[in-house]
Amino acid sequence: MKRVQAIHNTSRARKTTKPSEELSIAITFRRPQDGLGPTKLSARLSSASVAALRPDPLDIDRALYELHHRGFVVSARGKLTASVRGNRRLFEKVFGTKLKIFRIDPTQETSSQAFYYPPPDAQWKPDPAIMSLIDDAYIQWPHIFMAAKKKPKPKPQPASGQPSATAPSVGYFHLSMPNDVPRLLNVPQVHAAGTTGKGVRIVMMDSGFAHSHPYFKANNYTSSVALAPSASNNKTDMNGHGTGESANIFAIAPGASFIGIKLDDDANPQGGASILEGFQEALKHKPQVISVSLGYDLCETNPFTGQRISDKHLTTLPNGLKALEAEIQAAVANGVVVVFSAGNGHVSFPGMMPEIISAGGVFVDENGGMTASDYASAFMSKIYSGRSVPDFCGLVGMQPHADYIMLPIPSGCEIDRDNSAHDKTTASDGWGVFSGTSAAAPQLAGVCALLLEKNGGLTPSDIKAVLKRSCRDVTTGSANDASNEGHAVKASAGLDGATGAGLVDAFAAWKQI
Amino acid sequence: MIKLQILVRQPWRTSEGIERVRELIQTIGIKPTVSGRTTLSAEIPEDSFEDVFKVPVTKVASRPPSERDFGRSGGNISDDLIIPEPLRKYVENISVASPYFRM
Repeated sequence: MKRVQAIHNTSRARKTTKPSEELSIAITFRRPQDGLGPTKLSARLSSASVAALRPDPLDIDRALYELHHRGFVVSARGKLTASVRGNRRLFEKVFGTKLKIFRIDPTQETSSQAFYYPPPDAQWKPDPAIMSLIDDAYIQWPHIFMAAKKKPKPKPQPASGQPSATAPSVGYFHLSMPNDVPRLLNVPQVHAAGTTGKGVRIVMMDSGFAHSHPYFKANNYTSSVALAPSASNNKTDMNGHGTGESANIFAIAPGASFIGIKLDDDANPQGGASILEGFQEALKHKPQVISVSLGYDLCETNPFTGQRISDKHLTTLPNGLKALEAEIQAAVANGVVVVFSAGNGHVSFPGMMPEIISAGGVFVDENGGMTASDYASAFMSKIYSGRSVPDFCGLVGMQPHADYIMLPIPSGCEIDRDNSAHDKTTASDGWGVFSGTSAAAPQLAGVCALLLEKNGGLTPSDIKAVLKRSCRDVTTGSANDASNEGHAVKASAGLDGATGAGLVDAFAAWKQI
Repeated sequence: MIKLQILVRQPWRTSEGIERVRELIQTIGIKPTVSGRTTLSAEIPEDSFEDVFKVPVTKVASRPPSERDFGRSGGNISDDLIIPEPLRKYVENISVASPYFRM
């Protein structure tokens, strides 16, 4: 690692933020034939020469294992390099050096204005076992934003802010809660008949449920929230996903008993519960319906980043998902209606399991026109022969971001900040316009609760059948091509691959039971 | 802690069978967290993992929302795990809980 030579160090810069103790470190590796690595090559690398420096993947495995063993966290892995994270003291210990604070010219818009780096005269005595496996290790400098200088976004906060109970105006077509989503699924007639899901227990598992948001209070929604193992604080939701998507259930089945299972650990974003733990916790609450807007993408992916290596579907279920598969099968066999998202271009599991209701997406425009959402997944499972995903659909927006339903979220949470880049809400207003098949699953779960209130004897397969035969057919549009090896499945008259049976019609289903 | 998922063999998918597995895993340093009808979830300290399963485990960082999802959880990944000897009669499959997407 080269020591830094020239860094700005002005009095103005010293007033800026402290450097992060957590370092992002790039690792390069040696090629097997002569031990040469990219940082030791005198010639400039080209796209042709770089291939000749490709290390043996097993050597990368060994190096990452050793780094992990010493306390580094592997955050990404490529064919030539890897990224790891570790704190300053760990880096100093493993690489036998002493880091100093360096500051960046504050006129530059960077991700951080101070960082740790070895000074020019720093010693460099790395652990020999590590250096025998790698070419070099570089602390990554803060990156420069290639856009006009903007105000830093606030850090995520628990739901202690005071967002308004009323959504902001965004100036484009979207669905408002709590009226538009039920209206488009033909729910108001069911409510008018006195069916609101009363007495039906719906469990939703997700990031968290910050139902102290004034929107939930203003609409007299009540809930209870339990923690899955390793989750913390049943009142907060640092991501916002669970809080926002749960509004779909309340809008459709306001009388149902809502039980949220929080999976996230606020103090440790790397921690929290697994989906299986959440599902097991859900079962403890004797649910009639379980709604899950989470899943796995069963394509060839880089396990470190989750990025796809190819769009090719897996043909067998990975061992690591067999326990979850069995637990879901057992729950459905015991009469629990289980609804999963079909995915947003994902080859989703458990969204492809035959036993569950797989919730896909239909977009209804401002004139009432229905089209298959090109954000939602549709594919034939290569694991469960003959299984077409989805079964039928809820309301989902279109690409690129599916900004479609105005949903209440904790002020300053991850989605509040990230979505503000495109949904015309602000980063801390406690509202976001989003959807995904994450919205469709709780919508369908809410409709299931309406049916179960009217007829508590319905089995999961009864409910699936009645919803299927009462859907409104969607004949135009295509689903997300990323879910089907690059070929978008098209909607057409009758049952089709893109939307299954079409858009759910709660009133038509309710009348049939 | 590393999160583990344990699938119980068919004849033992009863409350007694689940309880038996719960007791057994604790004898080899695995702590149960919650169970269902056919499975148990559990945790094992990072420094014991390789002693028990003979393969390494790697931590995977969580990721914020992207264009196609609302973030990915953190977790761990490993090669397929060999079921430790004391559990083989009762357990069909053990795995590390891997990261998932918010869709």
